[in-house]
Amino acid sequence: MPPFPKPRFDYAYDLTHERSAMRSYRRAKPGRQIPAKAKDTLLVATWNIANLGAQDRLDSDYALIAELMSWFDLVAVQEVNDDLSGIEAIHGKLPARYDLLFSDASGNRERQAFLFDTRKVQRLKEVGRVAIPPSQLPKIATTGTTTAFAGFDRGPYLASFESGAFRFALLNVHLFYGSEAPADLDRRTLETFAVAWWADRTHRDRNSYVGDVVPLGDFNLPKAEPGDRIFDALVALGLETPPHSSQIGSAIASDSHYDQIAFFPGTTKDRFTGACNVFDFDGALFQDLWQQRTPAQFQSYVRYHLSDHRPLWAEFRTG
Amino acid sequence: MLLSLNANLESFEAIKQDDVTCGLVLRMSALSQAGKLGPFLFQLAHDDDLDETTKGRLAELAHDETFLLAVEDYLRRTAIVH
Repeated sequence: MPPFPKPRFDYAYDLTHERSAMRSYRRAKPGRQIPAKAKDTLLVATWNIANLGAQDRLDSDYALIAELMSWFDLVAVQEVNDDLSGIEAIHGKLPARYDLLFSDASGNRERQAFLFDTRKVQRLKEVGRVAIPPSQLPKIATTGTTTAFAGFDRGPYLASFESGAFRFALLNVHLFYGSEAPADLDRRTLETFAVAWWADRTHRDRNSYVGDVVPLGDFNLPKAEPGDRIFDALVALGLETPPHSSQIGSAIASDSHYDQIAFFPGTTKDRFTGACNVFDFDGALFQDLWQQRTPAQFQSYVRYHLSDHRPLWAEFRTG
Repeated sequence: MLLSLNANLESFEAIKQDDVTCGLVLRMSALSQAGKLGPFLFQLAHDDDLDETTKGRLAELAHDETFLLAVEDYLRRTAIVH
């Protein structure tokens, strides 16, 4: 996605006040609670931070983003620009125990990244971008698609981790969006199916370093329900997406469910505590701006300084 | 009847002891209950890394809904998350 335009109006906020508003919202707003970090659980989140490194954010913006991220043990981040200044600024605001891992840049000069609390999460040895070999590309086909799969625009970024007794691999995805044109929808569907196909093969392969793969990130999936082509492609081979405890969408402007966390029945599902939700930080922040400006102006500020996506999180047992 | 039950329990326990098979059976059971095994079976049938015997056994297993439900029940009842 190209960088959003900088809002054409002045607005200044008090970081302490906004941070406090976000914490209160998390604590008291019905349906928005995020469990506290605990010794035997793992809080995993995914967040597309719009054009991170390509938009001219303030130091206080990075502090707010880091505040929200610090509530989780492991965060998969999408839309990290080739220019690393944004993700490094967030990393710099997090406690020193958080480590950062990122891919090289791919389509739209974007990287994917992981930020994780090393007190809870240890990185294992397998890390890398996933690609489908040319000989296997013809196998990426679904009913209703008429175009051939040519590979990922941005290859999913795989990293393996361990937390307590939970050993898993996260597949950090930001799939192609394009437009609503049939060819682009085909490509989006095929990229999604390619993720499911790769996860299926890895799950069944005795040589897999970690068989329990959790694809997560921005699938550009409009609705997480059967009948949606992208959703059907994601779950075709048995991946499941846990229902959010609220029905809040992860995309601010459209309320779409672009962002997902998926896993297979078995080990990961057994460790899933059932807690999973989207945190709509935009319901807590900049309330004076919301009252003074139009909804469109408010959204333009939020998406430029924070993001047009909300983080999605899920909790797992690690004992 | 008792022999059959014992044989099944041995099969269930063998599945439980093998992480890859266990995950695969739970996945097939979930897909079977949702009536959505088709795409998965298609992938198995076209997997160059699987020999014909394994493909045949997996396809046979996938079509035995009663067995899949029973093994899932066994795995759930005997599960220890560790």
